[in-house]
Amino acid sequence: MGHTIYEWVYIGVVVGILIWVGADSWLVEKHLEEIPEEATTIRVVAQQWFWTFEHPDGTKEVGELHVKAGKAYRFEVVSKDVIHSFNVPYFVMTMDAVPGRVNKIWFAPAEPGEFLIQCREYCGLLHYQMRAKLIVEA
Amino acid sequence: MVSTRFYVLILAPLLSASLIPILDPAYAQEEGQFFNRRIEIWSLFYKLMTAAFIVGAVVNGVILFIVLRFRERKTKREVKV
Repeated sequence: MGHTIYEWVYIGVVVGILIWVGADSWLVEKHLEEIPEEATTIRVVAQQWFWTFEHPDGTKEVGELHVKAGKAYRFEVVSKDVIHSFNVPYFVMTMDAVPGRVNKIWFAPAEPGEFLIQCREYCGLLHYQMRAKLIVEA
Repeated sequence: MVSTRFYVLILAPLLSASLIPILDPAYAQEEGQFFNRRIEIWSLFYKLMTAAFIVGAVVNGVILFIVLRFRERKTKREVKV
């Protein structure tokens, strides 16, 4: 055929776009994994079928989590029984709670409000009711 | 054959475009300001969707172009009625 120029243009454009989005994805992923040193640690305990939140001072909350806007929080997500998944849809945050493991994820809410916390991994009969409330205070 | 100049003309702008996000100062975290995952993740999602549609359009366009060019070169074929 001898018309490789079109194929090379198309390979060049496609490879270039993939490199661009790949670099961008890598950068966002890097920032998501870097937990700020000043972040407050909250232990998130999942069990059938409710959430318990343990603050650094020892206080515990069940079904509700109070945090402050403008501060960073690191969640240590654990499970007492089966696999659950800690999910806050508004903040695009999902982390599996696996028995025997401590999984970490962080966020820093910018604005006050009430947001949904839910289980995102089917965990039994009342999975659909395994919800909690995230309350971000000003 | 495709010349070296052609590679430079096509690939250099695309590769330099891929470096833009790395140099973007918007990602720099200042004291008291944290990475807003909600904004950044959705922003990345829209970029990926845009890239996916552009790649799809380019691939489909090239396929269509090659097919039409092939059909035009075969006009001498006899058609029995």
